[in-house]
Amino acid sequence: MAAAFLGGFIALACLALFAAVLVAPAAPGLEAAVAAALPETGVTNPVTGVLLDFRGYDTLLEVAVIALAVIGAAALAPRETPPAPLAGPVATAAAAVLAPAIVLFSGYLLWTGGARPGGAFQAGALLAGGLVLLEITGSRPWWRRGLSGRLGAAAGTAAFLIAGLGVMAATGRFLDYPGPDWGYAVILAIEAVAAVSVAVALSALFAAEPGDGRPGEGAP
Amino acid sequence: MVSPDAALAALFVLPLTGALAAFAAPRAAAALAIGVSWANAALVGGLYGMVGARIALGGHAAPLGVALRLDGLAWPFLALAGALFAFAASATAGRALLAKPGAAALWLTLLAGLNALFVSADAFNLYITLEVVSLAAVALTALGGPAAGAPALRYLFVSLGGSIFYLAGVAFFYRATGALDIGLIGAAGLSGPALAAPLALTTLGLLLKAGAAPFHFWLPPAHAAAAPAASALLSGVVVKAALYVLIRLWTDAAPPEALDAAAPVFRVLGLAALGVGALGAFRATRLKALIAFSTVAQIGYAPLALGFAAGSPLAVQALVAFMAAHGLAKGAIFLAADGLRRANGHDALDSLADPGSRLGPTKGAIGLGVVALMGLPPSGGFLAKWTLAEAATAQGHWWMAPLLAGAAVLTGVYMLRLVSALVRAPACADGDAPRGWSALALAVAAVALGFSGPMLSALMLAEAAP
Repeated sequence: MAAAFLGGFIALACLALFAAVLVAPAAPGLEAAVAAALPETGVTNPVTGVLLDFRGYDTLLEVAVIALAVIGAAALAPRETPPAPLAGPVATAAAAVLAPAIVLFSGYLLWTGGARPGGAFQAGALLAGGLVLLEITGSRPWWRRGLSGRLGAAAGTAAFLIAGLGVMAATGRFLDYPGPDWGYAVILAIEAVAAVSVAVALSALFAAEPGDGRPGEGAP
Repeated sequence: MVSPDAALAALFVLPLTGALAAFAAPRAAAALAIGVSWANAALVGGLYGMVGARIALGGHAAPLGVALRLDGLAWPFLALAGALFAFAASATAGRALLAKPGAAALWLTLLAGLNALFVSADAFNLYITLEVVSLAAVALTALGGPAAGAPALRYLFVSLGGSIFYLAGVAFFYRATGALDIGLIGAAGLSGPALAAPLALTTLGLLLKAGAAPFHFWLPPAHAAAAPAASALLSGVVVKAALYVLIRLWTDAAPPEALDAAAPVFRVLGLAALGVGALGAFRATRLKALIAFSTVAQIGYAPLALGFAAGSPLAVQALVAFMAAHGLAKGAIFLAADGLRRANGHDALDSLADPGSRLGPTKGAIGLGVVALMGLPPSGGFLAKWTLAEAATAQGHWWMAPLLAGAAVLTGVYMLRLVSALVRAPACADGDAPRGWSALALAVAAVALGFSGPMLSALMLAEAAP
């Protein structure tokens, strides 16, 4: 009862706060500054420029959070128990048709991210959908398991770290790309590895299930 | 000479690389975690000479890029994390935890997140580092065994809720100022609802994450259910991460007038935590629950000191001393409690007995840890209380000095429930129990912190420089 009152009070207070802020004038955002600095990055999509160059460090940590989710899930559910496969002719045929198309489209999303909406997270999420499809139809690729699966989930963060340290040799600063041409190449390389890594990580989370008596079970 | 760019980047590159390696190579994971924890402690020690450094990651200055800043406020927290991770990893309890599959990678990810958090100068980047810290901490909590599942899940929900409030507040800051860098937000000179709303939201989120009263309900079950070494990190430094961001926002993003206006609220929150934590500690029946409730109480010193920090670097200095002293002492006591539990075979408070002379270091760690928690001279806790009393008295709040003395007595009374076990016969002996040198090292550090007053003052002056 007390908790409900406290919760209700906090919700009301938050609504009042939102209202108070939304009627106040907003400051101009950073759109102009991003547009002015975008030519340095080698990409023409401002969102990609912000995510992979200006605030690339944020994105490094975000990719690390995805890897961390897999690390945590693997620690709590060391043995994956794949769901019983949907082996009917419709599911198998659908997977056979959809999987190649999904790979193609996620490659497109990755490539187009430099200029238009798209990029590693979108491509990775789509690819993860494809992997889940293979997972539930019983044809999980061998590299999703074991050492290669762990390396795959860690690869996005590792690629970011390696790229950050690599450009440091040239510029002396972590994640400071040397010029737009190199910047574009490094961004595309990070995004390509990150896309596959995100896909492996998300599909590993899909397959992770706590076994008997493991922590994580018995929660209310 | 290492450049500040390389040294500050190493703070997250080193443990994050270690975490990925530990995840990929589980057989080498435990040794890797211990080695990297000590390497990180050495790195942080070396960084003392670089206090005052500020770097623009990727070569993009704020507002476009993210800055890292190593100042006099950040370094003590880095040092606290460095010492706790190193000694906890080497302790028997730490090696037992690190032997579990996946624990070493989580351990190092948590360290990477904490390091990144303490040097971040950007409100949104802080959100991501808080996420890294929370997720790793929740997973480490859940590794405590089947009984830890439910508390860990509750911890996760509370932490995610706190994140959402914090993120909403950051979004409002950006809307009002067009900046995410904390210094730039402060320089924008916000006032009225445009300042109050984001401050209230971020503060609510951070108090939830810190387990500060009245949002402490999730903390004792989680900290009591986790593995002993994980509890040492959770109580010692993880809850401080949210409090650290709270200090940052109120001292750097908000003007002193705002903190002055909110000061009564913070003082009440702090006193409430002291009372609630003490009450829980009196009623606890298990050793670890007692220690966890003591954390609820000790966290209260952060909002309490913040309530006197408007325009008072001395109160901020007291706050840092409180956090460091409590972190070291609590790390020591959680590790020592593991030895006591192993020697006794149980951890029911009423029937714990003297673990014997072989566990001398463990007993010493508990004794010194309690001295530091009570704030008896010459410990770090005494330095913190003395500094806070000085800051409060200078502002006309003479009642703080007797109140802090009373809080010491209160702490002593409930901690007596633990200390009395050490003198209770019959003695039992267990050859398997660790002797407790790591715990003793942390407890000695908590007491020795009492002599760091001049160093802390110098660090705070370094912080005041632009």
